[in-house]
Amino acid sequence: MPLKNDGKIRPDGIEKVTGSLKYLTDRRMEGMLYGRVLRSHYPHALIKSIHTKDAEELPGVKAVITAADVPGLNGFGIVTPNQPVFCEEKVRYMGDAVAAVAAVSKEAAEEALDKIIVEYEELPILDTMEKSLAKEAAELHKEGNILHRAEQKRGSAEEAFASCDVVVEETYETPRQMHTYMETEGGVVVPEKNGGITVYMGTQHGLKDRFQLSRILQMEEENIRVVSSPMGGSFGGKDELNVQPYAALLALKTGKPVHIHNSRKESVRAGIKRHAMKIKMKTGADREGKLLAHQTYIEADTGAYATLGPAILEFAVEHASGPYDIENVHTKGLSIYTNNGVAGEFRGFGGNQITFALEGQISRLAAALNMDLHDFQAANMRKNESPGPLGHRIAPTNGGLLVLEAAERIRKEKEAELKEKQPPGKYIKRGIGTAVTMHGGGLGYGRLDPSGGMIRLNREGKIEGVFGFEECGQGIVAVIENTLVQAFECRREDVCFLIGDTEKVPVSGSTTASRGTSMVHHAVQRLKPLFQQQLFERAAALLDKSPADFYTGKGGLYKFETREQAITYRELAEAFPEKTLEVQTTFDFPVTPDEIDSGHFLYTFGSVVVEIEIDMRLGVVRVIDLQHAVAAGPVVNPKGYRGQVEGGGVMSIGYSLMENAAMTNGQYDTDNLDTYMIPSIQDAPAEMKVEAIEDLYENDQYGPRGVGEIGTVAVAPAIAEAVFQAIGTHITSIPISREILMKLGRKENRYEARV
Amino acid sequence: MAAANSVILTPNTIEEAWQMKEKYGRDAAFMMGGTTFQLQREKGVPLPPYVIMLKALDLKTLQRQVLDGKDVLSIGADVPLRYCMNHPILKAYAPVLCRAAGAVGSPAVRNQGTIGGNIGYRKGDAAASLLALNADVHFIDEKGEQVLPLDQYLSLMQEKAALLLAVKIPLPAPALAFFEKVGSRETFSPSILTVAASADWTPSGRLKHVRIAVGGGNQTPQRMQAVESCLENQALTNAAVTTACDTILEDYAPESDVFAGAEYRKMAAGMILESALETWKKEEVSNAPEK
Ligand SMILES: Cc1cc2nc3c(=O)[nH]c(=O)nc-3n(C[C@H](O)[C@H](O)[C@H](O)COP(=O)(O)OP(=O)(O)OC[C@H]3O[C@@H](n4cnc5c(N)ncnc54)[C@H](O)[C@@H]3O)c2cc1C
Repeated sequence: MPLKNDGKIRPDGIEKVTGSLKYLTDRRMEGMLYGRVLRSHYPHALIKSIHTKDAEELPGVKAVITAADVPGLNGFGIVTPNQPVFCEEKVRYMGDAVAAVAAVSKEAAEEALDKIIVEYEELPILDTMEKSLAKEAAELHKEGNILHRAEQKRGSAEEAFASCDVVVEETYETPRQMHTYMETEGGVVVPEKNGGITVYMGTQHGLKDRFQLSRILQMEEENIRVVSSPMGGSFGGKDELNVQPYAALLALKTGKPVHIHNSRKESVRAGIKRHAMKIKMKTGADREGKLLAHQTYIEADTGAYATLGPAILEFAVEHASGPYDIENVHTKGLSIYTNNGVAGEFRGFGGNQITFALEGQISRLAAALNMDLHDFQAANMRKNESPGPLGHRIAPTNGGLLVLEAAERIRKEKEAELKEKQPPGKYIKRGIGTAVTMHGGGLGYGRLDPSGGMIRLNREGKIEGVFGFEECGQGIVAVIENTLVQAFECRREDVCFLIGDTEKVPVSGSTTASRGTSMVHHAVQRLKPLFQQQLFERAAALLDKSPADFYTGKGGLYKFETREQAITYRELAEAFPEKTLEVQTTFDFPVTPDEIDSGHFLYTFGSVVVEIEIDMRLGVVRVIDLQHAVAAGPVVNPKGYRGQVEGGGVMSIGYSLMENAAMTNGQYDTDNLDTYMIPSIQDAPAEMKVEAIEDLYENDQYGPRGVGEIGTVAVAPAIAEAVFQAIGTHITSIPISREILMKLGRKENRYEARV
Repeated sequence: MAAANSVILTPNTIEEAWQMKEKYGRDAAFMMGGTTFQLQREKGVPLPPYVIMLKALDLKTLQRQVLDGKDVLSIGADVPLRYCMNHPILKAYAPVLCRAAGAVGSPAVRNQGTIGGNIGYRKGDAAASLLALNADVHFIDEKGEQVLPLDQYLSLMQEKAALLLAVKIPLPAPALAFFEKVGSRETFSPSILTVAASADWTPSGRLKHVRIAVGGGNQTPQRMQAVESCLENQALTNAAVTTACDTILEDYAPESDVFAGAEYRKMAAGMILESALETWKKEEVSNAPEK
C-alpha cells in the first residue's frame, strides 16, 4: 500500500513553510564583519606572487589573510586533507582559495577582493580524465593523477564469458550533478573570550568539522564549538568543510564575529559535485537467462582534491553487481584527479552512477535473450541469505525480491491503465520502465563508524533525545520525536530533541550514508530500559512504591495496579532539581563480520516504476508518473519517509533529464541557476506514490534503515528503460540527449507523414 | 555594481521621460518592471549611471479601441505579463499572446515583468507572438510619437533609443494561430526556441497572411519570410508542408549556447512548424462543413 499522509506536522514544519525559521546564514551580530574569499582566476596555474597591501589599505577592511596566516595544517579533507585552505604555490581548480578578507560591509569586502593582486603562470588544463591519464600529463598531486584505485574480483569473469550465450558490452556516461541546496554555504564564526571560537555554520558532522578546524587553527578541539543545525539542505554537499576555515581565521585575526555566505555563483564555483563517471560494462548470461559474468571498469572524475573520492569509488565498485547473484565478477575503478571542480559526497554516493550502468546491462541482456525484464531480474535476484555484492556476509534479507515483485505489480497495473488511454498526440510515444537497486547504509567495513545518543529528563520535565546528528531538511528531528514517543508511549508534548551543537551533544557519527534513522532507533532501544529504570526508581522513592509498579505513558508514569497516572514527568523532574536524570550509550554501526574493505552489512532495496511520454518532435521526455517501492524496515516517520523518497526521485528526474554541471577548459558552463536547470514543480509528476515494505527478514534485529538516499538511485535507469520500451532504443548517457531522441523521431515521422 | 552609484530618475510624463533619455543618451536606460536588470546583476553587469523608471507614466491601459477607423487591441507598455496571461479580452481575441505571456519565466517574473519590457528585452517570448499577430507599436523618439510594425521597431531599437508606449494588435485576429516554446524544463526556463505563427484561410481553403516568427536563445524573434511566402496561397498538402519545413531549415540560422546546439534548434523549428501546420490542417478538416 502506498504511504499515506499521517496528518502530523513535522517539528520544524511551520517555521519552514512560513519562512520564519532563522538559518545560521541569517545570523547577524553586534560588530560583525563580512568575509569574502578570493578564488583562483585559473583552473591550473602556478602562483608567482600575491600582493595584499592595496586591499589592506582600503577603508573598512579589517583583515586580509593568505596561506601565511594559517597557524596549523594548511589543508582539509575528511579523509586525506589535501585541499589547501589557501593555495600557496599552485592552484588546481577555479574554486581554489588564494586569500580572504574581512570588512565592515559586503561592498568593502568585495572591493578589497578586486584589489588583491595575484600573479599566476598558467599551466596546461587537465579538463578530461583522458588528459589526466596521458603519459605526458603534468602531475596534479605528488602521488600523481590517480587519487584511488579499487578492485573487486570473484571467480573469473574473463574465463566465464566464453561459456556465455549472450554478452553485452556498453560504455555509460553520467554527468556532474550539483546538490543545489536552497541555502548556500555559510554562517558566522564568533571569537570567544577564552580564545576559542563558536562556528555557526551548516555541516553534516559537527564533531568532524571541529576536528578539522582544530588541525587548521592549531587549537584544542574543546575550544571549538560547532553549531550546525538547521540547514537549508545539504544532500552530502556540506559534509566536507567549505567556508568555515576562512571565517574562523578571520574571526581570530580581527577578534570580531565574521559572516561569510557564498553567493550562488561562488557556491557553484567552489562547491563539490557528484562525480561524473564513465563506466564500461561487459556482462554475459546463458541461454536460460542466468547471469554468469560481469566485468566493470569505472573512471570517476574526482576533480582537484581528494575529499571522499576514494570512498565513493569503493561504493561504486561494491555495488557494480547490485542485487544480483553473479558468480564471476571483476570490477576495477579509478578515481582521477583533473582540474574540473571538486567531486565528492552526494546522496547515493556512487550508487546512482553504477546502477544506471548495471540496470542498463540487465535491460540489454533481457532484450538480447528475448526475455521479459522482470523475469530476468527475478531469475538472478539475490536469495535471502546470498552473500553481499563483495561476496561478504550481510544481514540476511529478502528485500530485493519484495521490491521487484512490487514493481512488477505496479507496472502491470499501469500497463492496463495505459491500454485504456489514448496516446496524447501523434508525436508522443509512451513507455513504462522499471529498475531495482540495493544500497548499503553506514560507512562500511574498516571505517570508524561510531554512534550513540543520550536521553534525559530535562528541567521542564520533557524526555529529551540528544544526538550528534544534523537537521538538513531530511527530517531527523521528526525521527527523534517519533522514536521517543513510540518507545515511551507518551505524547508528542512530552518529548523534545537537542542536536547540532558540539558542546551539548554526544558522538552519533555523521549525518550521512542513510544512517541517522537507523542509529536513532538503535540508541533509543538501548537507552529505553536504562532510562525507564531510573524513572521508576525515582518514582518509587517518592511514592513509596516498587520500581516494578510503573510504566511510562502519556504525560507521566502510570501504575500497573490501577492504570492511573502516578506522577507526571514534570513532577519527577522538579522533585530532583539538582540531579538530572540522564542515560547515554555508544556503539558502532553494525558491520559485516568479514574483513572486507568498505563492505556494507545493512542494505536497503528500492524499485522504481516510471511512466514517460516522449515528444518525438523535440526529443523531450516528460515523467508522467514515478512510483517507488522501498524495503527499509519499519517506517518511523511516514511523512519524512515519503518526502525523502519522493524528493530523491525528483532530484533524479533532474539527473536523468536536464542536470549537467558541464565544464569547458576547467570552467563551469553553467555558473548559476539561470543556466543550471533543476526540475521545476511542472517537471515533477503530479502524484507520486511510495510503497513502504516494512517487513524485515525473519529474526532481523536491526530495525528501521535510513531512506535518505534510496529514492535517488534507480530513477535514471528506470527512465532509460522507459525510453527503451517507448522507442526500442537503449540510451547510454544521461542527462538523456534530446537531440538523439529527436533524430530517431525525425526519421520516423518523415516516413509516416510523407510516404 | 552597487545601485548606490546609479541615479534613479522618475519622470511623470512621457515627454519628460524622453527628454531625460535625450539628455543622458547611452548613460541612461529605461526601466519598466526591471526584471532584466536582475538578470544582468546576477551576471555582474552594473546598472547604467542613470535609470529612467517608467512606472509613473500611465501606460497600464489594456483595451479594444478604434484608431483611425481600424479596430485594434491596445496594450500599454506597462501592462504586466500576468494580466496578459489571464485577461478576458486577450483570451477572446489573441489567445496566443496569453500563452506566450504565460510561458515567460515564473509567476514572480510575470507579476513584475511587463509587455513593454518583454519587447525591450529583444529576446522575449511575448514579442515573438506579437510578431505573428502582426502587431504595431506606438512609441516616441526624436521625431515624436509614431506607429510602426513591431519588426521594424525591433530593428530600429538596435540603432537608437525609442520609448515604447503601447502595442497594437489589429483585429480581427487571424483565424489560425500557434505558439510553442521549447525550454530546458517545463517552466521557468529561458527559451531554446519559440515559434509563433498565424494565418487566415482563403474561401477556397488556402492559406493567406501567413506569418511565422522564430525566437530563442540570444536572438531577437524574427519573421521567416521565405517560409511565409512558400506557404502563402497554398493549400495544406503534404507537399506544401514538406517544402515549408525544408525552407525553415534553410532560412533559420540559430546559434549554439549552453542550452542547445544550433543544429538541434534548426531541426526543432522544422518539427514544430510541421506540427503547427498539421494542427491547422486538422482545423480545416473539422471546419469543412461550414465552408
Ligand atoms: C528569472 C528570470 C526569468 C526570465 N525568463 C524569461 C522568459 O522565459 N521569457 C522571456 O521572454 N523573458 C524572460 N525574462 C526576462 C524578462 O523578465 C521579461 O522579458 C520581462 O517581460 C521584462 O519586462 P520588464 O518590465 O521587467 O522589463 P525591464 O527589465 O524593465 O526592461 C527590459 C528592457 O527593455 C527596456 N525597456 C523597458 N521599457 C521600455 C520602454 N517603454 N521603451 C523602450 N525600452 C524599454 C529596458 O531598458 C531594458 O533594456 C526573465 C527574467 C528573469 C529575471
